[in-house]
Amino acid sequence: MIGYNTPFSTAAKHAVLIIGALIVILPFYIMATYSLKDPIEITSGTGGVFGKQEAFLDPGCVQSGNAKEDCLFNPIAYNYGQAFSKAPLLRYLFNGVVVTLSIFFIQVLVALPCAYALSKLRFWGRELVFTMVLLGLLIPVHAIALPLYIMLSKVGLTNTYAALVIPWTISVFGIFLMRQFFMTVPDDLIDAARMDGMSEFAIVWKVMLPTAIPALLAFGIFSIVAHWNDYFWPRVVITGTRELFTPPLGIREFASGIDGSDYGPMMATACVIVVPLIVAFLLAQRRFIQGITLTGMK
Amino acid sequence: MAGITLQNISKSFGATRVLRDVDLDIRDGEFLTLVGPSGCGKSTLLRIIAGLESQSGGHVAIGGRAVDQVRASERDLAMVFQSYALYPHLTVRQNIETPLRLRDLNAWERLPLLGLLSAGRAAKMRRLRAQVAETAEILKIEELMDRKPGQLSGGQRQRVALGRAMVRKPAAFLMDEPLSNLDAALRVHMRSELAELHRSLATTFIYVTHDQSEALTMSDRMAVMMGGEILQLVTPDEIYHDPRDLRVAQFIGTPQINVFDAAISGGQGVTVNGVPLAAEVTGDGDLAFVAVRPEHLTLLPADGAGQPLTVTLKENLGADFFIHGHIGDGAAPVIVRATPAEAADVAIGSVCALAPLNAAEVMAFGRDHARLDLVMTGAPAAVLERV
Ligand SMILES: Nc1ncnc2c1ncn2[C@@H]1O[C@H](COP(=O)(O)OP(=O)(O)O)[C@@H](O)[C@H]1O
Ligand SMILES: [Mg+2]
Repeated sequence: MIGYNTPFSTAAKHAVLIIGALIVILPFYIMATYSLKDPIEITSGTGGVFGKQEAFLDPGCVQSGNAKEDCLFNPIAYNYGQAFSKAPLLRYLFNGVVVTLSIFFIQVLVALPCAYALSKLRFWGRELVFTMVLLGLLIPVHAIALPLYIMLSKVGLTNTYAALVIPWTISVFGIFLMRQFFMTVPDDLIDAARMDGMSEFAIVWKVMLPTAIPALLAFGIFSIVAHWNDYFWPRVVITGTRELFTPPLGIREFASGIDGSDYGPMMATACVIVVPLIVAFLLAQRRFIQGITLTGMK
Repeated sequence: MAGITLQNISKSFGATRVLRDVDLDIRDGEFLTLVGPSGCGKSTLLRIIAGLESQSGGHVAIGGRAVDQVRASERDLAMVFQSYALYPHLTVRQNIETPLRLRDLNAWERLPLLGLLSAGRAAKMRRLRAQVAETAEILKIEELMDRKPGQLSGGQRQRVALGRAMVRKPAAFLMDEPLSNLDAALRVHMRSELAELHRSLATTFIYVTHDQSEALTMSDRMAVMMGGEILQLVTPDEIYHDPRDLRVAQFIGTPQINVFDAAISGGQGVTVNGVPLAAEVTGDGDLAFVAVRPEHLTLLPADGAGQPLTVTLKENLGADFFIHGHIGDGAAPVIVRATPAEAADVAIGSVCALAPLNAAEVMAFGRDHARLDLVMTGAPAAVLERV
């Protein structure tokens, strides 16, 4: 393409990219702007980006017998206040952190030794095992959800953190990704560690892990995003206690109540759920790029 | 410090036999080089000694102790790799410290924070730091200690790799082409430094290379390997002047030794390219080749009485010239070393004369490449005929 960058083609490329970006951003825009508006602005589609921010009357509040003056709210305060008060959102966020971090931690604990064995140890049947890992990648979660649920309920683990964590602890994707990365680590480095007196486990944690940080970060982003945002599995195994709800289950609290969906607080909840991820990604992104540029194995 | 004995070592990868019954007796404190073309099994042999690869058959003993069932880390050997294999995430100091920490601190003392509580740790760490500092001083890398390997040049990484190997004071050093990633000048320089290091450490060195000049300059003894076998194991001098196998003679020496077809014809004794040589083969053996080093061939002035040599290339090396050519109609390529004076009036394309071979300086080989002994019959012709 070098030499063919006329101003027109550059403009065309940017136009395509901008349109694509707008399409992707639109739902987020709606989410953010709804969380700032009062119900009338939301249903009538008025109020611009930020809403007029005029106090509005909450009919539900009046119905429960309060004076009109006490039922006037600022839309932002109302939406976010409801988000945190109507549902224990902080508790949900805490659950989300516990579950996603436990999942990621155990996934790494399992995937690194597996990937090391599959990439650097010679043993009978290695190719077969790796083929099975690849096959594992093809199995959709939803296909095995029911058997998993039955197994968990048989051992009495439904409605526990364990039910949220255990099914995800062995990540074939993690094993696959780390194995591909370990293939690029020179064998000499491992032999040098063996000569220095390291055991195979020490090699995994003290040599392979530090060299694999960029790959681990990439995997971490996939894993944490997937499980933080997962709605399906928590919905399946957490049936009783709200205590164990993860953030996406929290959004449901506002959906289709008796008086219809309460979009403002719902979107406020969604914003609260998404922000930690975006912040975490922006923080990790810098290290991520650093990590990629610093990996010279030579 | 220890001698190392290999008995009948063989190794196969699947159906491919990489090593065939290798016997090797490495003396305590010697600098032994394994040299051979790429793919002949040198690295595999070294890795078997190190314990990184298990042999398919045979035994390894280090300092008299059989180590066939002993892990690499317990063989008390250190290895320097071609790629240096430094830990990329650790500083130079930590790289050198690692083998000592693993050997001298127990698992408890190596723990990140709890280890600090253990009683003997402080004293051990002090001793360990002193050893690291001493090694850094010997290798003159003190100012690099806090850098990461990624921030070092090839030569510096090489030194750090040496440091990591030396710091443990192992029974023997194993080196797998440690210089081949360096540029030519540094390689020559490191050659003398390694030889010096070997003298001062007085430890066994087993050095693998495909570069004959490294083998010839550094080793006490060198083993020439080919096709998974050791063809000859003697001093560099003897390898050069008295090769017992044609393949050894061809592998060692630059430019390559000249090889001529030879035969024994009734009545005339040995003939080379049909020309009689004043020599006889003693013992039995099916004479097939005669080989002569370029420095043992002599050019005569064009009108001299010798075999005509058509010159195809003249290589100027300053002190010497190498004259490339062929005898007769191009059948036998020949390289002759000549002084600048001798080479002065040799032009490419011209025909000059090659003095008859001196039977004292030629080597005879059988069809199976084994060396045959020659005895001279009569005076060496070349000397008589030289003008
Ligand atoms: N792990 C292995 N699996 C299969 N073949 C191997 C392996 N390691 C080495 N070989 C083969 O063994 C032969 C000798 O290898 P190597 O000892 O590395 O040779 P050298 O160091 O002399 O160049 C080569 O033909 C190589 O392909
Ligand atoms: Mg090799």
